[in-house]
Amino acid sequence: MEMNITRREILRFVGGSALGILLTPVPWKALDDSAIWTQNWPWIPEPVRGESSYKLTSCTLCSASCGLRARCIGNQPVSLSGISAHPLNSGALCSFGIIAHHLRYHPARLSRPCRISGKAGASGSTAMAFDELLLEVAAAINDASASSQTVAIVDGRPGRTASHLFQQFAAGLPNGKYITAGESSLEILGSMFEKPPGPLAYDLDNSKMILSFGVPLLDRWGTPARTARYLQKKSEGKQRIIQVETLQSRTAGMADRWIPIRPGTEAAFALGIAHVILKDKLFRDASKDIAEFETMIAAYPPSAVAEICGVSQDFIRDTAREFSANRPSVAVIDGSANSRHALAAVMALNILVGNVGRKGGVVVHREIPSPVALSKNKMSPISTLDAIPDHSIRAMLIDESLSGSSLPDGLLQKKLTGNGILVSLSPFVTERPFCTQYVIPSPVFLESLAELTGQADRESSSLSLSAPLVPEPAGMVDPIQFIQRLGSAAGVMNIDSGTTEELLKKRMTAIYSEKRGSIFNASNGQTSELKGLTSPDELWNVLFAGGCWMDSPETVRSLPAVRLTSVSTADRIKNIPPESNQLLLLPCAEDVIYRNSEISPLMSKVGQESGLRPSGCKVYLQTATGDALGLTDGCRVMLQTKKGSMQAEVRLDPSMMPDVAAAYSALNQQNIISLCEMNQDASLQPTPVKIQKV
Amino acid sequence: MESNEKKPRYGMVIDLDRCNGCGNCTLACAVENNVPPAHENANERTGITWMRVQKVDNNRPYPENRSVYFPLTCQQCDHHTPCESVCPQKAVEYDTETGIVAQIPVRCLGCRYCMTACPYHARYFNWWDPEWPKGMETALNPDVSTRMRGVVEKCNFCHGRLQAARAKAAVEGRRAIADAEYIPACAESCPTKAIYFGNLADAGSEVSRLAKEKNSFRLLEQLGTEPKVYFRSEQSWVHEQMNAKLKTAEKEKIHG
Amino acid sequence: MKFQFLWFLAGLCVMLFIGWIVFPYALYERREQPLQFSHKVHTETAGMSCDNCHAFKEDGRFTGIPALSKCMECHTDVIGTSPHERTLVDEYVKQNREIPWLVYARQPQNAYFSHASHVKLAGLNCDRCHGPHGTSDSLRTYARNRISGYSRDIWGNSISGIKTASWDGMKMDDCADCHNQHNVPNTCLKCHK
Repeated sequence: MEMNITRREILRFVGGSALGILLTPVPWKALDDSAIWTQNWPWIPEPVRGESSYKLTSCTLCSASCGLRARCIGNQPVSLSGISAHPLNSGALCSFGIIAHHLRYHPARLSRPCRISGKAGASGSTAMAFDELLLEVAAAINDASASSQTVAIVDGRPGRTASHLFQQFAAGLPNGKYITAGESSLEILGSMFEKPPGPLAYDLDNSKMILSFGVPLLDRWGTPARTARYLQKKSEGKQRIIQVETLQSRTAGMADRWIPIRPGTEAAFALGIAHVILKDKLFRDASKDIAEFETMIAAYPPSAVAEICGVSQDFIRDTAREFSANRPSVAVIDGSANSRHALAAVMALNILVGNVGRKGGVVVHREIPSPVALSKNKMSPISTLDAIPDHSIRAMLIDESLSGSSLPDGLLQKKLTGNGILVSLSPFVTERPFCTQYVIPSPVFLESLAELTGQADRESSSLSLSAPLVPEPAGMVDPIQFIQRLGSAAGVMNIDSGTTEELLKKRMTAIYSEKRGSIFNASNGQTSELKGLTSPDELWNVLFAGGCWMDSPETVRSLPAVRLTSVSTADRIKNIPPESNQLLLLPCAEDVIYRNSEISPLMSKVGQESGLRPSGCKVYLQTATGDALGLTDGCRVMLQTKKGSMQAEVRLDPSMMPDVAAAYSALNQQNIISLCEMNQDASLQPTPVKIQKV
Repeated sequence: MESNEKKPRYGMVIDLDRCNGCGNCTLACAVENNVPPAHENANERTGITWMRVQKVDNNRPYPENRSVYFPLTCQQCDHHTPCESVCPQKAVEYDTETGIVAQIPVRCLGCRYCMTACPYHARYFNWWDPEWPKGMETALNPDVSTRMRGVVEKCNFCHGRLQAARAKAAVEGRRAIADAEYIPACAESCPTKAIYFGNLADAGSEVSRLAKEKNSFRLLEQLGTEPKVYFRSEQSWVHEQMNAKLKTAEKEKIHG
Repeated sequence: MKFQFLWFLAGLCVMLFIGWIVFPYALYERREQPLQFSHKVHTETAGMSCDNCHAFKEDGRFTGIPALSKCMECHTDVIGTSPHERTLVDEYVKQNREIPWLVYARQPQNAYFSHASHVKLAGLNCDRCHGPHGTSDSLRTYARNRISGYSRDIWGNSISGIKTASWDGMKMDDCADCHNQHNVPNTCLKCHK
């Protein structure tokens, strides 16, 4: 039989196949399966599976040391929340803490030590082995010792066991200096006594009236529980906050009263208040020797201050009256953003109302027991950067392993010699283009055992431990390991030895044997007296699981005599003449405290996703000011000061003070700072600026 | 305790006098719901923030100008749910069991009609596939699925937590969950306790009581969507500003 | 003329053959489990009960297939005669490596299933959805759908989709059908996350 295969046959075959296919499950099944296939692309990450559990620890991102619970899937933390009964943070976390478990994955995280060449545009960073780096740094240190130059170690979180080892290191060098970057306003207050009364702190929980000069009390300063506590006390009539600040920050918006003063006039305002207090005899304590101070403030009557600050005289008088009558009251100011004169003027107010050493005012903390401090190895005393002559530090070591303290880069730059090096212990690289920098990677939150001490906003100190919940990557160095290894490389032998855990356990034993204070046990939510514990190991276990030890408050019987002379240089306070059209540039201090530690990439959601873009410098202007300059919301401009220029995007904000331009950039804060005039103490002055549309 | 007769209707009351604009809610929501960090080309309109903090001011000149921050999420419209009524895919469903307006991203085909319909701008489109910095994808929450590019997503009142609470109750033999067992991430993370969450159908719950107070209001009430998210403030200007008539579209001013 | 019809018929038959015989065969990739495991030996010989390994946690979660730590409660070293146990100890226990089981009932990540509600509240038995797996002597071959990536058990054994037992098929419709029979409201959020 002949088979003549033509197109017709093929078509008939195809027709039969088509009908056949429809009578099979193929089309429906293939469609169903393809639909599933298109919804399971392999590049879309899926959450891992595992057992869900909660682990307790403390946050290291700032000295508030919040107790938190980490929800873990297997061993992986996937979310964080506060421990509600924890006395330090009462269950609250700040927005950095909420996403702190992501920090380990930050793209800018360091994995190896490196040397970064100082000059801008140079070769950049070179990765090095830790031993190699130690040798180079040790060489610089020995060079410094040989030529009588200073080696300084800067500690952002004083009071830790590591801090005491740093002090030992400094003591072991001929020109070693140990510097703390804690609350400088409180340091200045301490210096107003014949001898410093001890570690000072603001007892905000017990204060009836807080006069705050720009401190973001209700927005990420100290414990995140502050806002809830304030709102509660406010409703009971037990606490008021007066916020003295140029910008309407969130704290200014929520405070009982906001007093907007011209930029940079904090010192004048404080002295104006002091004037009213003294002249109206609102509070007088004969034991204080303040004659020199009194003479100086004669030049700051309310009429003069009203003119300088741009506020009404009534505000000044009312504030003074309230501050002295509504006691215990306390005046606070942010050390990182203000000049020394401003800090001194505000701290003088605390002296005038006699709140130092009193509950609700500025309290004196006791020293936390520390066996390292008592060991045979000497510790050098605490210095300040101010006290060190300019261009005299040959090697500056900075412990930035724990974030949350602000380091004045401008000042650091001034103190370094021409060939000075900076050695930074940090999980991330910080841009410091003014010198050669060595960076050593330290572990990130949740990776290693860390000790958390100190509370600047509480009636007594506390000590917590941050327990490691995840494995530490290879090559990380913690502060104790850092100083021990550096010490032996540089030939400094008088540093206590032992692993981090051993040294911290020794501290537990010392605290336990003092038998004072109370502990909070996060596992059962109970606070009890320390002396109820049976052994130092029990103390360790409580602290290792999200608990904390709180010292008992110090009862101060007598204070050293007061010497209010450090404010005498107030005549150098810049008086900004009230000229119109003099637009002043004010760098926003928002988040500058965290500049030296990168924030989680999710943080961009708070800044509406565009805040972290390289061109994301924003300049805020009062609507009327912007209109007068012909600027619209969102237009691009050039900011021009005597020191330089940069581009920014305008934001018109009706809450801005007229003739003030507030510039903020999450990524380029350095640029903004470089546009501003700098004081002797490296604090920034509000600087005349020209703004033009580009 | 949950009433046995009535089904719960979950809602929220946000106290604007307590909110300080910190952004914890925004971030806790992103962590809980596996929302990825912004793509490098994302901006205010294309980034994904199921919960986002907005600011409204009292329209007074300096220095009387004052603002409040209000966290804005899906308002969980109870009536004539606009997004549900326009979805061609039935990817949105008003859950009669809980009152939550469910967005099921796997069913969505990405037409974005619901985004147009939503008067609260509470819906977000995945313009890009989710990408996490290397390693961060191991820290995802297994109780919420990840989404791919091309679908719309929005707040579901952390129903993954509701499911977990129900499972816990089931293991103990209970069908009903206690109020405290189910709290969304935003309410849990708020440090000032500005966000109250609970069952509006339970007359004894705090949320129910606060929602009925005279200082409580809802956004765009005149549209008749009956949202289940209430706001409250003792400052009368807040009521005036936020109950303002629908403005014609102007360039949205979004401040963080 | 009849020959032309035959061509049509030929096409039809070829496709029917491909659709009903070849396609179901080729669609599934057959894989063996990394390890053979006998439920029968563990329940009868060793006298264990189901919840020794498949238990509920306090927080309502279900262990599902237990982790290696559960096996190691008894099998830190070989205690029997089976070569499979040898593999367990050598390749997994000693190397602290989780066993990469191929899960027959694996659902996509957007599906939420709570064992707690079904076992504790609804009182279902394991075999209602998992079949006689719990009394089996060996683990059957895992048939992976090449297109969707999921197990054959999800669609059901038969390519036609006709179920032969209550455990044949675990797609959304199967869950929904049972819910409808028992008057459980079928809202999206019940089963999706």
